[in-house]
Amino acid sequence: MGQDKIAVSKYQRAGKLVNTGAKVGANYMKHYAKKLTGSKATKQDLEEENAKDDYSAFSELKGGPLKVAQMLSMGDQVLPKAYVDQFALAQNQVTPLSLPLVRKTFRKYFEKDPLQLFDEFSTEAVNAASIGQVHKGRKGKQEFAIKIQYPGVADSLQSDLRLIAPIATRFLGLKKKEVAPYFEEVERKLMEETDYRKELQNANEIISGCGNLEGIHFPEFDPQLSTDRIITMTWLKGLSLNDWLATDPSQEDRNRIGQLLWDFYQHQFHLLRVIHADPHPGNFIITPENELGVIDFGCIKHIPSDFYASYEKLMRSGQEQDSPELIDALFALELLHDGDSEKDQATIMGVFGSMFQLVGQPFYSETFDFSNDSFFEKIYSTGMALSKDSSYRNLSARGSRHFIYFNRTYFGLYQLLHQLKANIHTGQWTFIAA
Amino acid sequence: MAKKKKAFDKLQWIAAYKSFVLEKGELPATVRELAEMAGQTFPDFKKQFTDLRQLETAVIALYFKEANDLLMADEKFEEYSNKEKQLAFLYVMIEKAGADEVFLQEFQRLKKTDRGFAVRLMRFLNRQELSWAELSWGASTAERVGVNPKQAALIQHALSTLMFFLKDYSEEKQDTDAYIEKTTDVLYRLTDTSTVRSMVDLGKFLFSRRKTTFSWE
Repeated sequence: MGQDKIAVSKYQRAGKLVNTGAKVGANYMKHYAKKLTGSKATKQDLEEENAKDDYSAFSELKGGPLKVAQMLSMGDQVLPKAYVDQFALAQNQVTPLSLPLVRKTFRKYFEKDPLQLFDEFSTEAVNAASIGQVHKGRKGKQEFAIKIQYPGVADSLQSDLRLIAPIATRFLGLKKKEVAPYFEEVERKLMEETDYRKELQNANEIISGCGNLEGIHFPEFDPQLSTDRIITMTWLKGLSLNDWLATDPSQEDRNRIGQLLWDFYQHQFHLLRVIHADPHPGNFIITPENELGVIDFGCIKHIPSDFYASYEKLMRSGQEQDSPELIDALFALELLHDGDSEKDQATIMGVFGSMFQLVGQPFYSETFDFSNDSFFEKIYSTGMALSKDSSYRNLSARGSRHFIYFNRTYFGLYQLLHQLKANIHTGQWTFIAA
Repeated sequence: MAKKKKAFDKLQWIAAYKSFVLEKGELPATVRELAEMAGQTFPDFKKQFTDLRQLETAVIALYFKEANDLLMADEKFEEYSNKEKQLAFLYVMIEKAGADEVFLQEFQRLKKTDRGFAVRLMRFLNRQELSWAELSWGASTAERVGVNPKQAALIQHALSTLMFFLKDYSEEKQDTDAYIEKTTDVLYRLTDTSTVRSMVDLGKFLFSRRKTTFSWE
């Protein structure tokens, strides 16, 4: 069984990140050396080399940086393509833990070997995620997915986040105090993901609220065979979204899956006020009947009523620039601050206006074609232009902390629908009074 | 007059030694001191061990032996790869040692200044027939003359794991599991000689064909 090494202590992990920084620096040197000597060196080459080094370090570290790599790769319009190509590898490829440790973990929690609990149990992991790996088991005719967490993940996540925070703060030119609430939100969510009992609760919450949705399937969880580090659920038959796409499904089937995804998320947001906040392709299964299976409930986001109400106001008034309702909503969502100068307010209103018109398009039309590359390219180019705009860059960090996982969810969903090239009905969902 | 206890076997002396350390918070200074507390005599002790040093190494070696014997009786063990065999040994050995964690922590504290202990322990373990080591790495003990470097490396690895375990304050000792996984992986990668063997093979091939391969004639 192949085992890539995993950096051990905080200091070793820090060393790994610093090493990546050095490598990325070296890649820039190589890039400019090539330019000086007249060799062909494209920006794409440079980004690819940097991304490879970043990914290599991230996957050795597991835990926090890998999670961040996964989060970054959700939206390929936010990052240059080469970064996304490498980071996307993080979504399903992490090295497995040994069978003796799996057996030991079972004996510890259940006082039995896996084969005393299941008629069959895969000796090797059938899938690996950032904080755990999945084995397949069978009892009678029923197949199960058993997810086992890597040891020491919670501690590693915390130490990684403490490493990432200052680097990210400096890289983005932000003030530590301003970004602290965002990092706290991310840390809280990542720590929740390390508690499989919490995942069981999350799953029950989403499944009980979505169980009646047609065309959507969920695994059944077995609380008797679940602990804080092991979670057991029935095996959903089918292909992961990426594998299914590789079979070249018809446009009709792509649209159907896209519609199921869209409705699943709108139902959660508007009716349950809690969303499955990890929409990456590995978390969705397409069943043999071409229906949608949802797995992995480690990361869910509760939408507070005041956030929902303000967001509704924003969506309702977003197309009317300078309306009092819009300004109210922007203050409530912490996008405008009391201390902002008129110039700052004008900048925010301008940025919001252009981004809102763009990103909100699916919500303002009856149908939307997510295969439209120009829509995503425009989001990316607008984002890039903003990042270079000094009047925008000089603004303090802003926006409700709830936007982090909310945006991650919606950008992730957009990304999935783009991969599906789905053309779907988007306009039928309306806000429901809180 | 109190009836004298039956003479202890090796395991009973080991248990008596652990009780002594736990009760008194110190190491027995003499055999007589230990024997007196155990209700035994000096000659009884000499039937099993030559001195206290030998008993001390046997105390730690017992975790190795017990883990080894348990694995040999486990029908799954043979199905494991070499690397998995080493992993399995470490997990079982730590499980055994974990039952005596308080004693081991006290023992480690008291033995800190005895630098010769680690050397004696290594020598002792290297002389043992530990089938796990043989199976984990082909570290044959049968025809060995002196120390087998492979077995020595595996034993050193196991001892370092034990040390790590005793200073591991992570929740449910998860860091020890991570230590075992990571160090075993590194150990087997570092000692994977297949690349070197391939290079030697290529070198031999090229050398034998040197007259034709690199000549224009």
